[in-house]
Amino acid sequence: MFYVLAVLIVVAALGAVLAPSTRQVLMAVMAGDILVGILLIAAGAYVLGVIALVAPAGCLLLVAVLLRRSGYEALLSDIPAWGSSWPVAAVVAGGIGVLLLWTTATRINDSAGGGGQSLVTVLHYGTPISLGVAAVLAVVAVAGGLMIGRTGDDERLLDRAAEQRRLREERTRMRRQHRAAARAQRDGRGGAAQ
Amino acid sequence: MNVGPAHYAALSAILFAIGLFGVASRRSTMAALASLSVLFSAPVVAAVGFAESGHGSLPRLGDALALFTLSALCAELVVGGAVAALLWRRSDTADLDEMTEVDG
Repeated sequence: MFYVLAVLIVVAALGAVLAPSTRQVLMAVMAGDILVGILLIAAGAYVLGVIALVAPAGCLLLVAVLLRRSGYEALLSDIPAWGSSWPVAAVVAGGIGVLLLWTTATRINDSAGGGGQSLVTVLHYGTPISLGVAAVLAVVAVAGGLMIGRTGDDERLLDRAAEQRRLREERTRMRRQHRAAARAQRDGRGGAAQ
Repeated sequence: MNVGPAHYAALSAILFAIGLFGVASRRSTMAALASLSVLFSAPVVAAVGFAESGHGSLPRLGDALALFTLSALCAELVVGGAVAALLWRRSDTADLDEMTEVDG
């Protein structure tokens, strides 16, 4: 079970990183989140597995929906090319991955870790302050995200004016091109008649 | 073959490397955020794997740690999306290579 899930998670992660379209990237990330949630449930962390199934994919979907509805569709558009420094990124990421693998393979003590108490018990009795901090962090993040990304009435007016100006310029450019094409056609016909 | 902490650690390392590569190499803001999400899932897998591989003598603190990591991931996604929207308004592009206003 672990090996099947691990392979699927790695494939989903590769899809999230290598997919050319933003839509495919978001789908791969959601698939990866769901697979990680299933892995956590298989590992015995039931509550956490359910949270992992819902929370990250939900946040990503929420961001995508808010961006689409608030006039930020261009952010979700496809930018297919890679950054110019992708070979350096590949070398650094591969190096850190190998370092992590080597460290864990040589230093892991199989008796480390723990089991027994449920997550709710641990959160309630063992780490109540951390739980409070995490809850506050989540609330502040949502409020901060909405505040940072909000658009005021004046910004909407400016956006509309900029869009209208762009359309006007586009129409003028098209008219000029048509006029030039018609003139070239007329001249060509006149030259042939002579 | 038994699945031990080393297996979870290996999977976590692979996920971390893939996510790091995506964050450093993708040009689209949303794709970089998605890669960051992959990167963040690495410590979650490691923490839960270590907690699961124990012998029941200690509370599952690894699960609690993974939960806090997940809340940080959600916060990062929401705030990151908002910052991406703000940068797009300023620079009129979603291409990270063209967002020169935030260069140091």
